Amino acid sequence: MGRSYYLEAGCMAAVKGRADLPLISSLTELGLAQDSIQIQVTANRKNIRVDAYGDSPPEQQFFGAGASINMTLIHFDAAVLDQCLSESFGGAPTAGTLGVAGGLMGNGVTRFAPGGAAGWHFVGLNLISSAGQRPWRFLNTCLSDNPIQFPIGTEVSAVQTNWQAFPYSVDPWNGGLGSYSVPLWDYVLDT
Amino acid sequence: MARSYQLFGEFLVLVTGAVFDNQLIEWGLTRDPISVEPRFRNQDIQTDEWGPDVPIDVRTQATEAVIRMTLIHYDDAVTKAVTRQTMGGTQLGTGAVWADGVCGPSGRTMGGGVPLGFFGNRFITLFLKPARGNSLPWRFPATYMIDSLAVPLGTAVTELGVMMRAIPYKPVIDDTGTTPEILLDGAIVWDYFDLSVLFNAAGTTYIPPASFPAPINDYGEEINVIPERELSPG
Repeated sequence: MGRSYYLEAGCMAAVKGRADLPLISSLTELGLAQDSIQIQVTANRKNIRVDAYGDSPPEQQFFGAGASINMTLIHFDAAVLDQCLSESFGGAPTAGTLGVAGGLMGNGVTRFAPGGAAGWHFVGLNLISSAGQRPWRFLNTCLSDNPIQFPIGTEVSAVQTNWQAFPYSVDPWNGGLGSYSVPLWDYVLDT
Repeated sequence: MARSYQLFGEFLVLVTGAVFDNQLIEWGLTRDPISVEPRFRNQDIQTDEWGPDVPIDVRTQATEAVIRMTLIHYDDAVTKAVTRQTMGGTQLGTGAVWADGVCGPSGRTMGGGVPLGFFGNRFITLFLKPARGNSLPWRFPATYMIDSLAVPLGTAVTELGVMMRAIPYKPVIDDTGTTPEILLDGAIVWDYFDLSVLFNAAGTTYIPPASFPAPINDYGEEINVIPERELSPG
């Protein structure tokens, strides 16, 4: 690795869901974005206050991180997007319907674990560079907040999608390590 | 000893006791910090010369501790077992008193006079296992639930509000069936016990710590006060 201009170039968004969803049980193309895909990583921190320092903290604690990924899909597979939506709704049976209130997204099971409503409901989001740059993989994501904004009219529909990535783990104790080494993203594509 | 920021890290809550066949069982993880509150019950010695408010001396008395925690990722079967023991339920698994929400007989003692881990002892030994090597593992040998158990039932994940009381329990008979002198001196409310030494060689069975009075009385006599069969663990 060396210093250079960084050109991700065209980027294919691909997804992979739980094993009992035939449409996205393997890495499946979701589509192309109209313009740049925006990745925003957010870290959570708490300052440690000491009276001798007043309002300027002498030390700080780290408390995990998350990420949001925003993209406007312009050339996409609507069926795949629907599948991502229904999974993002807590494993809803179809797009436009709801999962159970209070349903867990990870459900205490491993990535891609089948089981219908009892399965894993996050979606693995993979961003693949057409120029051979390293890919981004967010291991546990869902369409969140305002999941989609879908313009319907005479112009081609460019669908804004908002994804949230979580550092999900089956056991938050993690052998005593807690959140240490739990992946939020990496640069290895799902297969 | 050195001055520093004190960061104890996350803790895993574990339990054992006769109801668990003396196996060390994970109860769960908490949402927020666990609050350990030793409560000192010392008594003033008043003298008229000092007036009504300030003692001339203070007598130490038994200390207890309260452990507050909000369990967020826990084993509900363990919760039910702890609850049943706190309500004086039987450990034999027979009859209606084994059911959740059913009281045991009025006046039943938690310790039953026998050592921790023996049949008839309903105390729960509570462990707080730190994730970080620089934190001490806390052990409360004799605990039970107090106040109330807050169990929110709804669509949001159930966070279990638990309050445990730890007392310096001592049995009236020890694990050899003798009756020792019951002295507060040396009774344990909590300590910092190494979890690794609490298991047998196979790592499967919890070995109750020898935290009881000597198996003889002050006169060096062994006294069997209950039949041997009732002293078998579990």
